[in-house]
Amino acid sequence: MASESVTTLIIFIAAVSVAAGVSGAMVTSVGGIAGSLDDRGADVAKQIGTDVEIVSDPGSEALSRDHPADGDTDGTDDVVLLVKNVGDRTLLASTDGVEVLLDGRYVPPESYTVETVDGGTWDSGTVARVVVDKTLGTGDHRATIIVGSERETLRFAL
Amino acid sequence: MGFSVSGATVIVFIGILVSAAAFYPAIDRFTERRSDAIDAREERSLDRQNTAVSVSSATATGTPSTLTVTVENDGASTLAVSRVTLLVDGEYVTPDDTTVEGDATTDVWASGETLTLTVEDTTGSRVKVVTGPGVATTAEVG
Repeated sequence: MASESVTTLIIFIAAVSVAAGVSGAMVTSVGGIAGSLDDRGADVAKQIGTDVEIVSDPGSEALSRDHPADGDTDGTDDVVLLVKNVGDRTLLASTDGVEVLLDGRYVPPESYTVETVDGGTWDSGTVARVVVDKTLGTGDHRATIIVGSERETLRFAL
Repeated sequence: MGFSVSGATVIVFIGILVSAAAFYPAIDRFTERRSDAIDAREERSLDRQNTAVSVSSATATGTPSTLTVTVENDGASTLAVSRVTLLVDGEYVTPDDTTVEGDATTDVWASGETLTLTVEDTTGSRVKVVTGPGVATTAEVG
């Protein structure tokens, strides 16, 4: 009789321990998933709020030019793109926040600069100047600016 | 045996309740953030569709020449003067003076009103005016 009680107690303790372990693991995992979901929500909202437009005038000669006034002293033509922030949030006007493709080719960060035209932050409604240290030949060209998940392409001819 | 099963079931059930209590607010926040962002994007899209501008005139007068660009708000959106971008020959230019129907202090450029941008000491053959939503218009300097 006494041995039956002990057996029952041991089974009870074992069952409760296993259940507590399972519950604990479940709560921890769900907590982790909830945290990831929060981060993902913030990222999705950022992505949706990001919108840029290349406002450079393809009909002018300013897309490919030498620009000594901006401190460019190498004497060769560079590709100059003006990009307007038409989204809801302030963007990072640096090579960390903006990627450039020229004629479908990746341009490494050391080959271009990004700065706002007024020297301030790249707020909604303001324009950033992207200068790519590359001289393009005559013919049709394509420049793509990538900011986060937003992608804008401008086609132009020189 | 029956008591063990009941005890274990209660503990697992409590675990499920605690997990649900942590998970539901996370899903709620996610959907709310996402739907707020989508609403804002649709608002921007609507603003863009309701925006139309056209250059009424672009003239360079005097020596050194002063460039005067008048732009009509032909759309239904009210635009912000501070968010208008002016390019002269493809290069960004900050206007020296901006007036809406003669008022130099306002930032509101309502539908049907004319915005006048003045740039001193500038020569150029082509202007492009870009509004806040990104809708643009170009014109030759006459």
